[in-house]
Amino acid sequence: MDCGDSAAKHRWVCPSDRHLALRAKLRTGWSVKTQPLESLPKAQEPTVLDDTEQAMILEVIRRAEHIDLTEQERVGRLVDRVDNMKRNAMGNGSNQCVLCGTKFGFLGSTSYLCHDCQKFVCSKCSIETSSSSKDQIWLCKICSETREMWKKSGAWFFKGLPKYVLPEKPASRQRPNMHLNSTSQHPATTFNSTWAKHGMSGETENDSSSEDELMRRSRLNTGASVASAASALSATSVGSALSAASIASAVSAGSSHSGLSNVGKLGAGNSGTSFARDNFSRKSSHIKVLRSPSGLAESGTTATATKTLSFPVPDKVDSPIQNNSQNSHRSNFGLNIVDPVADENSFLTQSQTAILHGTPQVSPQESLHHRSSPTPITWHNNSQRTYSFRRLPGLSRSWRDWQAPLLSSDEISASSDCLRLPRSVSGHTIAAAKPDDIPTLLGAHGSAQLGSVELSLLYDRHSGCLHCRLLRAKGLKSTDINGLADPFCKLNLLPIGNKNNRLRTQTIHKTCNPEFNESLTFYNVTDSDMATKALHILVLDDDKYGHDFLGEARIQLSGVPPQHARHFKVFLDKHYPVEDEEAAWGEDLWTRGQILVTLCYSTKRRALIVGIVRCLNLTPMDSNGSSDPFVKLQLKPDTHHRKYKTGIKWQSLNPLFNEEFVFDTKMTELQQKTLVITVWDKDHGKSNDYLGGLELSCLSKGERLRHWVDAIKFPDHKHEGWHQLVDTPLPM
Amino acid sequence: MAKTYDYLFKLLLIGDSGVGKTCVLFRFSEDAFNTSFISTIGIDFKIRTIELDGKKIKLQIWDTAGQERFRTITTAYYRGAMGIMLVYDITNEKSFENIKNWIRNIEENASADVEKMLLGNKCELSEKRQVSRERGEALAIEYGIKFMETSAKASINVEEAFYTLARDIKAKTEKKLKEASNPPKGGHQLKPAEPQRKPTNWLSRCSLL
Repeated sequence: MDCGDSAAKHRWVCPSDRHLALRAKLRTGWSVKTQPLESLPKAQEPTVLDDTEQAMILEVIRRAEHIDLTEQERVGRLVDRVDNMKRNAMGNGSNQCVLCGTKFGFLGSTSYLCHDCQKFVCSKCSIETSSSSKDQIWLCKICSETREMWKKSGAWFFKGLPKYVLPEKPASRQRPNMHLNSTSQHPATTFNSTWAKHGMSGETENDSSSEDELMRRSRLNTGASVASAASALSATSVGSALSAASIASAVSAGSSHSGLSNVGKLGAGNSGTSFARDNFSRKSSHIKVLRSPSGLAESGTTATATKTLSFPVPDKVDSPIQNNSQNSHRSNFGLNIVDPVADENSFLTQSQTAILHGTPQVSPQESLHHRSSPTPITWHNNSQRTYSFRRLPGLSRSWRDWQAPLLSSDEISASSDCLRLPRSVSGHTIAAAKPDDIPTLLGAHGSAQLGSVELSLLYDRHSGCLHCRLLRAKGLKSTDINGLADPFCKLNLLPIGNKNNRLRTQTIHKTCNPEFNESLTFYNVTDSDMATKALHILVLDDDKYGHDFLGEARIQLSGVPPQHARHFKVFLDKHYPVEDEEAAWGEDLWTRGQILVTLCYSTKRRALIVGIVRCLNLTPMDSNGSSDPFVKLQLKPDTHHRKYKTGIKWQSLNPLFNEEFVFDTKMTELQQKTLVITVWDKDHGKSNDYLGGLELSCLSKGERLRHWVDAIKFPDHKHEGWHQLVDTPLPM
Repeated sequence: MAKTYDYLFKLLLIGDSGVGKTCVLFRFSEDAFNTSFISTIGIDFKIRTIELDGKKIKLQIWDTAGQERFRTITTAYYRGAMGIMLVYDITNEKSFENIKNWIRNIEENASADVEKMLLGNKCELSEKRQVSRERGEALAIEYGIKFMETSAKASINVEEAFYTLARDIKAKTEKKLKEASNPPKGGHQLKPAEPQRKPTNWLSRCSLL
């Protein structure tokens, strides 16, 4: 119909067919080699759309948006339905039906184990179905509804819940911007929380109705009890200016959308990256982050990674310790002490609470390190006293920054560029609603996103023992692709002084909410130690690559009276650098040195460009106390078995390579590939010594995973990252 | 918009310019046919709700311009498509040969989970036929996709084609979910809520930038 003869009728002359004919003659495909052919000098093809065409396309897009909105509302209803079911679940799932709470047992009804949530349900609340291997399985109604939701919302296809709008509740108490607020941006948010927690939180998830509830409860709470109950969590909205005091209204999808353009782009890139199960797990653990401090079980409110944090400080904070801490140099960030009455459980009822919140001072050492990005402190004199901090870009990265201050600030990758954008803050209050929850307050640097740790301390003066019972940690950052981590804790009393007894807990695998329940004891602790030292709890992710940092908590021991057990719930913060890291935390953190790698997927060249910039702190292997390092790299699996090598840098433990290597690969295949980087010491006459290795892939954890995923997600940008080298030999 | 539905499937029609994508869609959505050729500008879509196994399925069918100059716009819509119809013209050898290129395009731009189907359109013009039915079938088998010869003008197989694709997507939905509930064995950690998923192609969705 259109083959050439209709050309006269149309302004454009069916260019594709002519092109195709030409290319058929040239024997070039048009799908792949479009670029060079199109760049050939030619005039006939109008590549720019004219106004009417643009208008037509825009009209179609507008229609599509309408459809999308209907769809979002429908998905919202599905989500709401599942949420309602979860809310109304009554039982515990072990000896009661998880839904209706019916007791199982001799006289009770028979129980079925739900295949998905592994909880027990009664026959009425369960649905029989079959798995893919044709086994008969039972599902509780919640899980079956969840499955249904996954099916119907298209989440199975998009590997995550698509964007949705929660249905408006008929109840009053709604602000006009409810609609905006409740627009959850799922794919984006889940992505953020999984990968880019330390920064690019462009999106906020908000259910304003529950937010209202929060505020109401908080008001009740602050009115009724000691003000400490009110803890606040801020949600960031990128782009708009500081508006710390205005609660919630700024935290809207709208404002995050209207952000700086590249942020928007980032968001767009994010959306749709979420990952089926991951999405779920992240979401739930994310909510837990909030739940744990606030005890709001049903709020459903989630605020994402907050770098800027603001929180209202209740007016009547009366705590002697507060002043204390403000004077003290090493303040306890986000620490909340519940005064004990001998029995450590009594804190539940007796809440003679003292709050320590982080002082806005920056220690000289800190400011030295932070000089590239200072920490602005803003006071807002509002009815709610709020103060906000701009946090450093890349919370966890700062850990690395301490170690490698050489990390050049002038070469900022695209993502970290965005991290440095100004963020506005808007806090909304979350009150501790459950009476039996320990009231907590976020510290000045109170990073809800890093989670919290609970422990009790008992100092036995007579035996010189400090007993630490590490109970649990909650809401830890995830490090792996499943949104989980393998946390363990290291404890030490710092500053070290003449004795050094570092302790560590066991690793609890595959969880962001580990229950440690472990007692560790520091011996030979003196009164002077108790007066001067602080207990540092380093939460790390157990991984062969030098243990990713998950958070650190500090407790000033001067607040622990002898012979009294004290219960603490401390929010984790970024790493607090000490003079001798190695002595304090052991050398396993930095055994094999670090490597600075850049990744850039070039869509033009269809290749991954790997830059080996430099290494630091390599292990000396030769008798002269130095090494002659070079780096080998390979992208696996590779049918061609391509390997690359850098040049050899003679006698250097901190070699500068600055070499780039090109791996031709499809973008889509990059997710299945692993970049293996190994560093070797060149030896003549004998085999080369292995100095360390690094693997980057989607199965990596923490920073490595983030780096790899960033490179895939944002092609044509150079992504730079420091990584630890590991001593386990990698297959080359 | 009181119409409710259980599923929303997004389908996409691709193929060379002039093979009759718009006509196929027009036949399916309005049950009509228009002989005059109006080249699609960029993109367009039509909606039709069908019923399968008692479930209402809303099909949002995207019609793309076959012309190369709209390629940037059209490829942007590959990503969200759950099903793709590859259309060629049985009276146009070249459009059939280009199917390979279209498939390559899909592989590069669409989600890996996408259901594909091959349609040889204009099958009522048997006297002008250049591509035999067998060749179409062979190509479909080569790519492991379903094949049908259709005619938008004579209303042959159009309904069937869309129903088949929708049914395949629906079946895939169920399959996926069951797979997801069966985490790979080995390792005794019971993590039913977050089974180990291979990190395949979930990232590929984000390269829309």
